[in-house]
Amino acid sequence: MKDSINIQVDQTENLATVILSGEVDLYSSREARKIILELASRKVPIIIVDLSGVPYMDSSGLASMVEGLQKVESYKGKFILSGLQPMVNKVFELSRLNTVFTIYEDIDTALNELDEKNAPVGG
Amino acid sequence: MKNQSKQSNKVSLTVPGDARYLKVLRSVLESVGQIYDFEEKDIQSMQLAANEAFANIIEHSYCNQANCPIYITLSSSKDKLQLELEDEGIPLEPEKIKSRALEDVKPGGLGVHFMKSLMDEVIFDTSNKRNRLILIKERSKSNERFD
Repeated sequence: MKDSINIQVDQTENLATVILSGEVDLYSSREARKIILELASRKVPIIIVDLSGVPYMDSSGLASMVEGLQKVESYKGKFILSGLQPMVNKVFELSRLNTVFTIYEDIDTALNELDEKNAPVGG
Repeated sequence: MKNQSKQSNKVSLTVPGDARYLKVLRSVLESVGQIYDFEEKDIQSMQLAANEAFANIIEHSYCNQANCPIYITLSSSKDKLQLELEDEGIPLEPEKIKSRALEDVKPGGLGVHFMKSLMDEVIFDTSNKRNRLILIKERSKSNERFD
């Protein structure tokens, strides 16, 4: 049976964006987890997981995100989420993980914030 | 139980304890909830709680062993949506079923927390041969979603 999510990964030297689309549950989270942990194993400095195409996520999906966050933080990288839909936002709030992750409204906002933080000072 | 006489609508099905069937469970809940005009918020709560319960059966009761049955019974009434999940796996020990502390951030351990947060009642019943978990969601009076 085909996984019920699509995963698109775009990577540059310092940044990987992982765009998930579809419902993330115990079955489909396995593939997302695998890809996120593979990026973390290569110590990609910044990983953004965009969830704007994810209408539903259960606790196994949350577990994959927590695992990703902890792996990336272990090498002082940044693990960022963007585009949480209402149901997904609800599970983050219920678990209070919304206070643990860096979350942006959408991926463009996340990228802009990173640009601003990395911009040279002065000029 | 006296209340059972008021439950006029019941759907039963048996599915394999396989994570691919989570989507089936959520679809049935959505369809039945819509038929009986439950609000989207109630249906979504039941979907998430049921999803967590089903996943716990796969992982903890059946230890990911393939092709073990999960018996699903969904009842709706004027006032509530009730889901029963039964399995024949490792006997439940209700006193040991608990969520992790939310401040102890680590992967997993949130399923029971979701069930108890979202449902009006969560009942673990070990009085017969099967493990039985009952989730009850009372009908909301206001129309709102998870936003």
